Amino acid sequence: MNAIAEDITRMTGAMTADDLAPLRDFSGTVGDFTSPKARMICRNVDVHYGDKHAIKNVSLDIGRNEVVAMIGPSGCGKSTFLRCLNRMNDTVPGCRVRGRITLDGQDIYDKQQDVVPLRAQVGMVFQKPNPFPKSIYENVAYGPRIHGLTNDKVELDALVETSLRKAGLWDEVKDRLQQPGTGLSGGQQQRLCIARTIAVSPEVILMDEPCSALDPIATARIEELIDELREQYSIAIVTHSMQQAARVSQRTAYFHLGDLVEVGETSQIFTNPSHKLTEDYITGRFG
Amino acid sequence: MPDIAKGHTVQRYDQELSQVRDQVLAMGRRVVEQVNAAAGALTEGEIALARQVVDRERHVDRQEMAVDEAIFNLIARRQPAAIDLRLVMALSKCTGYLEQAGDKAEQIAWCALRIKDREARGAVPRTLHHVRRLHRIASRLLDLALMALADIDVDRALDVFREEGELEEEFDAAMRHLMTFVFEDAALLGQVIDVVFALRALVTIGDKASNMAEQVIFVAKGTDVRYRNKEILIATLSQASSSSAPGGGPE
Ligand SMILES: Nc1ncnc2c1ncn2[C@@H]1O[C@H](COP(=O)(O)OP(=O)(O)O)[C@@H](O)[C@H]1O
Ligand SMILES: [Mg+2]
Repeated sequence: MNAIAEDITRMTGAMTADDLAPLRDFSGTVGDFTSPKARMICRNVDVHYGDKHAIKNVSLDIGRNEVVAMIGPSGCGKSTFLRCLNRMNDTVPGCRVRGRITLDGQDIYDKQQDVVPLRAQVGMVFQKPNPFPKSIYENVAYGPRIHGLTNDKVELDALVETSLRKAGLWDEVKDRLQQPGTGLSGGQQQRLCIARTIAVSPEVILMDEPCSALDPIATARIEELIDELREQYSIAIVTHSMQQAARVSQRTAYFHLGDLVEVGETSQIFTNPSHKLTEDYITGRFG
Repeated sequence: MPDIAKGHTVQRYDQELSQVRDQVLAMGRRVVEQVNAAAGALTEGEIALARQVVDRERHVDRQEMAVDEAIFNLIARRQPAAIDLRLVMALSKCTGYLEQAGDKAEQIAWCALRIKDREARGAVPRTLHHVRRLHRIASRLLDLALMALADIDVDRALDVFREEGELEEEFDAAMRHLMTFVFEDAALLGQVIDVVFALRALVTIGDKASNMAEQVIFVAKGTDVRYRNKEILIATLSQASSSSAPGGGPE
C-alpha cells in the first residue's frame, strides 16, 4: 500500500484489503482479458512480497491505441501489477514476480532483457509529479541523451519541442525552457513528466494515479492529454477515481485482494458489471 | 431478493434512492386509484366520481414533476453507476409511463361525462360489460407491474408479459360485439364511440404496465428488452430464474 493510502487508512479506520481477507471467495477472472491488438500480454502473473501474495494469477493484455484502467480498493495490488509491466518491482526488496509478460512478443523478464531500455519503452508517470531539479529543457532532454537517442543540439531541441507539444505544455513553457521544472504548477509538472516519458519514444505509458495530486482543471487537462496520447501509445492507468476510469479508458480491470476479478469494455463495467464484487465497488457498496 | 437500493457505504445515498423509488410507487398507487375510479364512473354512471378523476389528474402530473426533480438531483449529486444507474433510468421511464396511464384514466372519465351528457340514463348496460372486463385486465397488469417494480421481481414482470395478450383479445371481441349494436340501432353510435375510446384507453394503460415490466427486466438483468418478442423472453428468463439463484454473479 502506498504511504498516502496507508495514512488515510490509519486516519479513517477504513477497511484494508487485509481486513477483508477472510471474506474472500473467488476463482478466475470474469470477462475477456485478451485484446485483439495486444501490445503487452501478461499471463498468470503472481507477485509475492515475502510471504504476502499481492497479485494472484493475473492475466491481462494492454492493446494498441487503448487506455486500460485498473481500479479497486486500496491495497488490492493495482500499483504492484502496474510495476510488473516495466520491471519496477525488480528494485523492491523481497518482491518476486512469476508468470509471463511480453512486449511486442518479447519476454520482458528474459535474462537478455536490459531494464534500462525497457523502462524507456514502457514509461511510467507517478502519482506525485517528480520533475528533476533541473531546467524544463533538461527534464525532457535528459532521457533521450542518456538513452543515446541523440546528442545533436538541433535534433534534441526538436525532440524537446515535439515532446512538450504532445504533452500539451509547449505554449505555456516555450519562453522559459531554462527555468527550473520544479517552478511549474502541479498540473504543469505532471505534463512535464509526461513529456519526459514521451521523449524517449515509449510504446506503452504506465500511469499510477497521475491526477490524485491535481485540482479538477489540471485533472481535466491530463485526461484530455491521455485521450490524445492513445492515438500513438498504449496506456495503462491506475486510478482511485471511478469516474476518471469511466471517462478516460476503453477497458476497465477491477482488482480485489490481488485477484483480477473482472475485465471488460469500460461502458459494460460501469453499466452492467457481471461480478457482484465489481458491482459493489462501482456502486459504492464497500464491505 | 434484498432491497436493491440498500447497501451503500454512504447511507444517505440509500435513502435518496429508496425515496425516489417510493415516490414512483406512490404515484403508481394514485394512478391505479384513478384508473379504478374512472372505470367505475363509466360503468356506474357516476358523474361526481368522473369529475373527481379529472380533478385529481393534476396531482399525478405534480408527482411526475417531483420524481423528475428528485432524479435530476440524484444524478447530479451521486453519479449512479451499474445497477443503481439502471434503477434510476428505469424509475425515470416508469414515471413517464405512469403519467401517460394517468392521462388515459382522465380520458375514460371524460367518456363517462360525455355519455351521461348525451343520455341521462347513462350507457346501455350491454356495452359496459366490455369496459368491466378490460378494466379488470388492465388494472391487474398495472398492479403486477408495480409489485414487480417495488421488488425488482423478474417473475412478476414476466407475469405481465404472460397476461398482456388478453388485452388485445378482449378488445377485438369487444369491437365485434359493439359493431353489431351499431348495426341494430344507429342511435347508439355516439355512445359506442365513447365506449370504444374508453376501451382503447384501457388497452393503453395495460401497455404502460408492460413497458414498466420491461424496465424491471432492464434493472435486474441489464438488458434492454423493449421491442423484443415476449414469448421468447418468457421462455429464456423463466428458465434462468428457476435454474440459478438470483443476485450472485458468475463465479
Ligand atoms: N514494498 C512492499 N513490501 C511489502 N508489501 C507491499 C509492498 N508494496 C505493496 N505491498 C502490499 O501489497 C499489496 C498491494 O499493494 P499495492 O500494489 O500498492 O496496492 P494498490 O496500488 O492497489 O493500492 C498491499 O497489501 C500492500 O500492503
Ligand atoms: Mg497504488
